[in-house]
Amino acid sequence: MLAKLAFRNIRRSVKDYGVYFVTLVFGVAVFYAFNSVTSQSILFDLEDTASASVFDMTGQMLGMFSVVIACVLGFLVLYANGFLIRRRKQEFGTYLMLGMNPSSVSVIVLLETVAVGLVSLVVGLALGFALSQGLSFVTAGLFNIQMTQYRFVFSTDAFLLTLGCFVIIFAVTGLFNTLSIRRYKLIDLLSARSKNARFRVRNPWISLVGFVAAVGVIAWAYVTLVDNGLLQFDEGFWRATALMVAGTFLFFWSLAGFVLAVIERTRGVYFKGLAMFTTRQIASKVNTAFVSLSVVCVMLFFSLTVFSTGMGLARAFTGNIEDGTLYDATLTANVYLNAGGVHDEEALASMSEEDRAYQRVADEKAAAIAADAEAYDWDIAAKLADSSGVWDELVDRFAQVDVYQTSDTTYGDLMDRYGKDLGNEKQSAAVHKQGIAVIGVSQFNALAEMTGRPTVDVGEDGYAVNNAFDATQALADASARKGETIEVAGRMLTATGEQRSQPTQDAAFAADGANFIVPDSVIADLRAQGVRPDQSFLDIMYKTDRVQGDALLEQMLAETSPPSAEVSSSGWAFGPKPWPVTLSFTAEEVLVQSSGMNLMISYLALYIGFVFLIATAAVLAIQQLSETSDSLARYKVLAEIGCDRRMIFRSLRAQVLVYFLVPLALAVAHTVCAVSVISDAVLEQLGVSVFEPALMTGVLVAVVYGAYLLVTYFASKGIIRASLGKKLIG
Amino acid sequence: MTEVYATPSAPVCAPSAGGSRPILSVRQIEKVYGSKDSVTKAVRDISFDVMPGEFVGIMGPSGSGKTTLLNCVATIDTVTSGHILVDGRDITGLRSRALAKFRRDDLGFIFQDSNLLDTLTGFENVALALTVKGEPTGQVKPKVDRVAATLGVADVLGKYPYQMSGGQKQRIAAARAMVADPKLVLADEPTGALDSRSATVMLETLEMMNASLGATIMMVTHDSYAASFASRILFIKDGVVFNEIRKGDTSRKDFFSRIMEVVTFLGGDAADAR
Repeated sequence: MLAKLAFRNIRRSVKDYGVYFVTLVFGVAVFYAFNSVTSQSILFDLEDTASASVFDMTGQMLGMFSVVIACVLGFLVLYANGFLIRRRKQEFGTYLMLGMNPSSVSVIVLLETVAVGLVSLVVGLALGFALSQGLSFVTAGLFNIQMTQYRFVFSTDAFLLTLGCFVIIFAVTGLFNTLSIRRYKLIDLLSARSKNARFRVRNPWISLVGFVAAVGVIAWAYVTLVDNGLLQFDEGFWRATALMVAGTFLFFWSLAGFVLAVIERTRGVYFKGLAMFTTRQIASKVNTAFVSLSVVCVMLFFSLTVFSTGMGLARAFTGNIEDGTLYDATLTANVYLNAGGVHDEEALASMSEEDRAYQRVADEKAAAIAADAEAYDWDIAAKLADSSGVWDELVDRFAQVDVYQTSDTTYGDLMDRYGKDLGNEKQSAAVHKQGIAVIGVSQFNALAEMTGRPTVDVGEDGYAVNNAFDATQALADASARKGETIEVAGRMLTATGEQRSQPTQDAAFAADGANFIVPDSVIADLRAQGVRPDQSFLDIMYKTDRVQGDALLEQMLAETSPPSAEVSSSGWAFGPKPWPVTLSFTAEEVLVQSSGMNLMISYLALYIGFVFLIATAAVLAIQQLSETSDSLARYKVLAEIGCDRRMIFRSLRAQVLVYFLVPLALAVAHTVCAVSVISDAVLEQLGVSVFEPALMTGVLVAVVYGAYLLVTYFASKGIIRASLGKKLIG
Repeated sequence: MTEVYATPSAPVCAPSAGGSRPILSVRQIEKVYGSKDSVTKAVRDISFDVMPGEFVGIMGPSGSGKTTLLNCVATIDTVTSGHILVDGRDITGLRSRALAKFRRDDLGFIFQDSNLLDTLTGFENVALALTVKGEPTGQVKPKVDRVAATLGVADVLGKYPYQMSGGQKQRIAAARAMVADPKLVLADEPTGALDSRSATVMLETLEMMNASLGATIMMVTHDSYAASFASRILFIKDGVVFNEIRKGDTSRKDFFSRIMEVVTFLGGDAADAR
């Protein structure tokens, strides 16, 4: 009997439940699909362990964020459920009046929750299964790999995770419902509706003050955020966040009263058609729902920011792939790390004997490495060929570039001289005191020849600039102008006017920022002054293919510098040293890393952005639909005093639009501020325009949010039409 | 004194003022509810005229069809057959948008439960009848203030419906019905939800609207006291006009006694006079 009643209730309130149900299904589907990404790897021929580990990492990250997503969906379910329950107080009152047991009423609600949950889980999982199949094609596309043999993949892990999460969510919801029904008193249940008829109107002057304060607080938040630059999560960041949230709450608290006061005083607008009714309708709704509107706005802001930033970051990883994989492998020697121990006598004197011994060992190691390097005249290739027989088997061509730093000219000198910076205060400050990086012309030309790119001639006292990094482009352009001068090793060099953009190493991001190509004699002078290379790159072209070559490279490096047990256990194949090899990075690794990061960030952005978006849109839709049901008596009066269909639906349209677009507008304003700061701090440094991610975000919002808006409008229209009937509204 | 006609009423009433055209002409209307299997004739065959400036009461027991009649005239419901002419125009054939226009331009409504919009102040509720008509915005406030002053509700214009008494709500509703200067004001049990003191004030308001402002009013009621404020009463029973009496030059007290006689004759639950 109770079950029958419960099912009948669901069927009857399907208009209220509809949007909620569809959202739940989407939530479950997306939850399953993204958590099944790890299992999709079996579809692909993953040749190396690096690719497989990227899949694992992506899966882990998605799994981690699934906790957040589960919380958001849990919040949605709990909110929507509580909302629908509150709206049905009178119905429960009637049950109790008719002599039904309070526990039976709880059972009815529990059955309803279970039924809705069960159906949405089953439908959602089915949809999620279909979605995950589609997702594997997207994965293949993002990962630049062929799908060798297609087959259906069912992820047991994702299935169990989804099931577990949602069972918990529904269990909590069921408990919550039962408790809240028990708390109700019969008299409150029966008089629920008439109490709702009272609504709040705020004093216009207080609203005005509140609104001005809200705008002020939000502006303050923006300024704080711009100052902070989003480079670190320090006090400034948290203050900006707190201000933004507080400003948003204050904004929605005061908005209706303020706007109402303004429109009321604009007689020409207020006394036109149904403007009065529409304004009042929106104002009373916003006044009662300002808390949820604020939460919706903040969540929307989060969704938009995560999505647009994520898509921008993901693009950064696909942008420069060709330039980042010019060489089959790059071996880097970070010579600047070979500083040895502490050389300050005072500091040494104040140390314990044990520490001093440690410093001595460090000094000895550094000296040994320097001696080794000097013995080979810093030629990494010679050292490797000497140490391992694999060299001849592996290496077809190679070129080494030594980067020196001069103390005569700093980047700060050039920035000040030309009035150019790196487009970001903190980054500019970071390199301000750094001496400019110089490269010998013959080494540079050898590298250029190996890749078939243009070489350069700097003559006896000239220099050219090599730059492949967007942030330093302006500075490089200014420094490369013919006739400009720099001082290196005590010599004045004049710009030849030439500029190159030759990557000197394999990297996921271009990292060659304004290097100066100088005559070999200048390098010789530097060496004579005792300057050592700051950093050396050995770029290698294999005789073999890349996958095979990578294996040989690993073997060669292990033979040259065997890893200690400690180093080996943390996954290194060789013992890194400041010289000859600190880091090894191959084209294949760049590709895997780039597409892996692209995959991971794209999916995270899509996952988080989408779920937050549907959750917020669903909350607005549920509120607006129930608002329409509550207002049916008002629409009837309007029809009776002679408003035709067009007038009534125009008013409804205005209400739905304002209710959906005002939180969106504020969220977009927040997002524009946050994303432009992120763009300055991060995206532009990576050479990514914010335009395309913004466009993608716009499309996502237009499609998802727009769909909820349209569904809400047409469903509201249907509710009004059905209630007023053909005679009144035609 | 007593004029009780046991015969069906004449199809047309004699015009009270010579030469002028009736504002409302109801011609042989019929309203049938239900499907093939179960047919209910709410209105069988009703015809009557209302002249400009008249205050007509429609009385009848529950289920007599008086509310259906009012709804048909109000164009909230449609007739099955017959015609309703307002100021010479047949409104039974109008489409829904034209009907809506007719309602906002030519009709004023007062309902039993006042039907004010709870989100709007008294002023705005009255003003809405003007703004939906497309009244020039500069005219709205003066017109609302004038009608509110006349009906004695100027002091509640700033209040919301939940802050008003039942009587105040009904008089605001009356102001809303009057403000757009309609051809015909329809009142459906306007005192039904009021205590006797408020009811009297409300009825005097209607009387004043009729006498001073020249409003033509058609009021449906089952309350003889309320009916006694009208100038003419049509009695309806089982979907037909059963009888008609006019106040003429008699006092309201005498008119009330005559109404009571008819009501007693008619029987039914309309006999709950004060």
